Amino acid sequence: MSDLRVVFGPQGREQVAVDGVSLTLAAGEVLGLVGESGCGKSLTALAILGLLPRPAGRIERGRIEFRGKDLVHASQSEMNQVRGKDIAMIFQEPMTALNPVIKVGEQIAETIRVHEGLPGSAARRRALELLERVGISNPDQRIDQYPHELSGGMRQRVMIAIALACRPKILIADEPTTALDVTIQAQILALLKDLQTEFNMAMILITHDLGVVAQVADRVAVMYAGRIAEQGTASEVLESSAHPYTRALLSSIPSLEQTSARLQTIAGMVPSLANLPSGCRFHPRCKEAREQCAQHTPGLTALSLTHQAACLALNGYQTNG
Amino acid sequence: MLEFMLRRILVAMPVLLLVSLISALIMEMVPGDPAVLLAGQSATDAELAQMREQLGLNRPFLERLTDWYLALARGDLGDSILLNRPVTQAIAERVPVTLALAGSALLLTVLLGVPCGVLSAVYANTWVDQALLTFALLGVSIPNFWLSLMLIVLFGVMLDWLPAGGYIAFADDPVGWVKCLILPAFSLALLQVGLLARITRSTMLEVLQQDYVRTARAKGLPVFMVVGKHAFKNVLIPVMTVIGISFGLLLSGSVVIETVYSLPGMGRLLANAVFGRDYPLIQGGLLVTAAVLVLLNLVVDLLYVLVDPRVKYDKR
Amino acid sequence: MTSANPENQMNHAGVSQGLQARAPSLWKKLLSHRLFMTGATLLFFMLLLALFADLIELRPPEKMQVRLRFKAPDFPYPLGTDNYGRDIYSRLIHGARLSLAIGFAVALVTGIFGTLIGVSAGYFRKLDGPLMRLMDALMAFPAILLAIAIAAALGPSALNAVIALSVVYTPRTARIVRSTVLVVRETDYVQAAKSCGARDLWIVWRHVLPNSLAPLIVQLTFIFAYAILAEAILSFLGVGPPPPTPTWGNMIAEGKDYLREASYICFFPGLAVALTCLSLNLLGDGLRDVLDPRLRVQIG
Repeated sequence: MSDLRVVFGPQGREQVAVDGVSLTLAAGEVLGLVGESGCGKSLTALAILGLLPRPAGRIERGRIEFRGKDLVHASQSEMNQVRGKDIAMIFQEPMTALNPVIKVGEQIAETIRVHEGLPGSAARRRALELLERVGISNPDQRIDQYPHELSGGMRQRVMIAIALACRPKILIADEPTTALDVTIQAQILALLKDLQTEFNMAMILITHDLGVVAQVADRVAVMYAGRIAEQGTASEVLESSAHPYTRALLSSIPSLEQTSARLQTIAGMVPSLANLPSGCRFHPRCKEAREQCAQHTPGLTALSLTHQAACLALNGYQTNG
Repeated sequence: MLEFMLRRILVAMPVLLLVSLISALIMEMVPGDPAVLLAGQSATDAELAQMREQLGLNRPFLERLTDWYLALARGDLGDSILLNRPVTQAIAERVPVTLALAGSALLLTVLLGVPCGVLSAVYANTWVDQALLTFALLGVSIPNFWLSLMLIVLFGVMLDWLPAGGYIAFADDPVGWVKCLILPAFSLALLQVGLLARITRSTMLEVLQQDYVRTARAKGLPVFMVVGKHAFKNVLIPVMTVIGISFGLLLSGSVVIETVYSLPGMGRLLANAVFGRDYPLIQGGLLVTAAVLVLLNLVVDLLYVLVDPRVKYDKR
Repeated sequence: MTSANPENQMNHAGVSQGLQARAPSLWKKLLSHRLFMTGATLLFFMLLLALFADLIELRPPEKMQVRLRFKAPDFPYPLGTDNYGRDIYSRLIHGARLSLAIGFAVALVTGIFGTLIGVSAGYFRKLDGPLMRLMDALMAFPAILLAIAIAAALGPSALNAVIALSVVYTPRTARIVRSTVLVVRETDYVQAAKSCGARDLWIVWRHVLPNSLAPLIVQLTFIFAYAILAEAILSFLGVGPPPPTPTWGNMIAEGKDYLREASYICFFPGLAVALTCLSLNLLGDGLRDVLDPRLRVQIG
């Protein structure tokens, strides 16, 4: 993905939700896409699959390529070949993301039937296997049940089964554990990691929880207000963070060894799309901001072959002339 | 399941009783004397008194009411004053006609309304949508009896393809039966098609915004599957309630159409009964109508349970 | 929690926005809504015709000229003459008066009583049960039959038609008002007023009513349309204002027997009803769109 720009709203009165985001994903790699609510990470993912909410959202600029194929300008039927088969997505809220009036097994099997042309019975057998693989007990019973008869954790497992039904090359997981209980979260994460290694899938894990990212991701990209603040390998971003935002996020995680009484927070609030700050979008909340930060938007500065961050401080607050 | 049905029927009883009570009260308070209508304007007072005696109109209201309920328990709805036949017989003759009319109108409504609504939602805000919405709007605005008359002029008089009125029983001539129902069914359905299309459209629009539709698209399913299977199944549930209500409205709205097309149905029977102050017929007819509507609600509720897996019938 | 019932959705969204905050831009939005303006213009035109019927008639509507019966539409009788030789055009615009007046009266009466009952039932829990049972019982009767029954009972006249139709439509309006009131009752400002010790009636007058108005007005527009249709039906069946008073329904009824020779006798009054209803429906739709925008996809 390079220089992706996603906007919302009618012509002339649009708001930019994703502004110039570039990402690369290698086969078998897990990329963690991190940011607070509203920073545009979900939209970035939806843009990949062409699932931006119509009619308001659209890709204004940028390229998205999958194995040499242009995904931005592909037709709907071409995209349907990619969706579910090469690139699959699981969503945050399993209760609403599953169709309440269709049996769970059928929701898995139909993907298989459509993409691989298997007959009903074969598809059903595959669905059973998948249910077992994602850790659902009594799969032969569950396969004919409806979503409301399953618990939250089980529903998410079903979602995973649906996504993996056709062995996609990339799995996009949009906040897969946010809506679940803490104990279930760990199980689902472990399951995802497991499956990812087994199928050698690339995965984009979208979350606002740095802890999740730390466990699972190979590389991390941090987004703020529609732009990438920092990206690099997991250890680079989490241990030697270069962007003030990333550092602030990390320090706001309460730890057991913390002795100070107050929890660390980042002052201020995420800016709304209609009122984006000038220059560096983080500058109103940044402890290290200087005058230049309000006037010039920082590009990504390379700190190593893999590590980049968008902060003027890295250049000594110099702006490119 | 059976218990559910029985319980619902039991609950409906008081409503039916209430309906018959209210209609009896209304008729009682209303001026007008069937004796006059039967005996004629020029009848002498003595003749009128005799007529009233015959019809049992002289007895106090409560006495008449109780008698009626008692007879009802035996399954006897009394005799029609104007038609001089048992009420049950008169109703039994007319019911098939009204049912045929309302039934075919309902079929038309569903066959036209639902696809229009779905198409309208899928192609929202395009010319398809606008055209269908305009059509729906016209359906709601145009008085159907007027349209009937115009259609009669067009098809019955000028083109002479379809009969201008009258009813041919299915048993006598199936083709003729269909022919004589086409125009009336269409006129009757007009209003409902518009309403159904609009409600289907808005429900569909809502459903299309749901997460599970997004999931279905993310799975790479072709459009017709996303709309026809995932979306449609969810639209069906609320739309069914509307179809039930539509049928009720069709049944009650049949009066006018039956008048225009001279069809011997329940609507006309009741209307004439009201004009002629034919109390037994009015009571009996209203009771039957209300019972049919109650039954209809029951059927809709049952269908609901069958179609929506989230609803269990013992929840109520 | 989404409710699949469009009616519920409309009430929730419209009420929670409240009228006060949007008052200044309301008119602007209305005036720029194409369909609304179409409906409004059409209706305005009808109203003008009705108001100035006396001035723009070509000849008195009751005047029968038997020698001129069944003249096809042609100058000097732009819409033709009927079976008694009366000028259809003049009858039409006089009929507009009566039909529009009846429709408006029904909407007004229904609005007043529907609001009274709806607010009482929605706000005062004790009254809710009995009032709604009564409304349900009234709604159990098929609408047309009830109207016919009442109109037949009271005798054919314009006033009785208004009464009959009002009785039929009030329960439906009461229901809608009640559901709106139920929502408003739980809002913060009502709760705040209550906790300050404000008297119920004052709360109703000051808070509940203004915020329940939006769906009510939309509904009344549609009732106006239904009433005109219903009056036409009643007149057609012979229980409306009696002939020779011209109402659109009467004209259609009288022309019914002459379909073969002179279909235009029925055609024009029916067209008038259709156009009036159409304009009212457009008006109502426009109002509803502006007062309670449908949920579009939201950002964020």
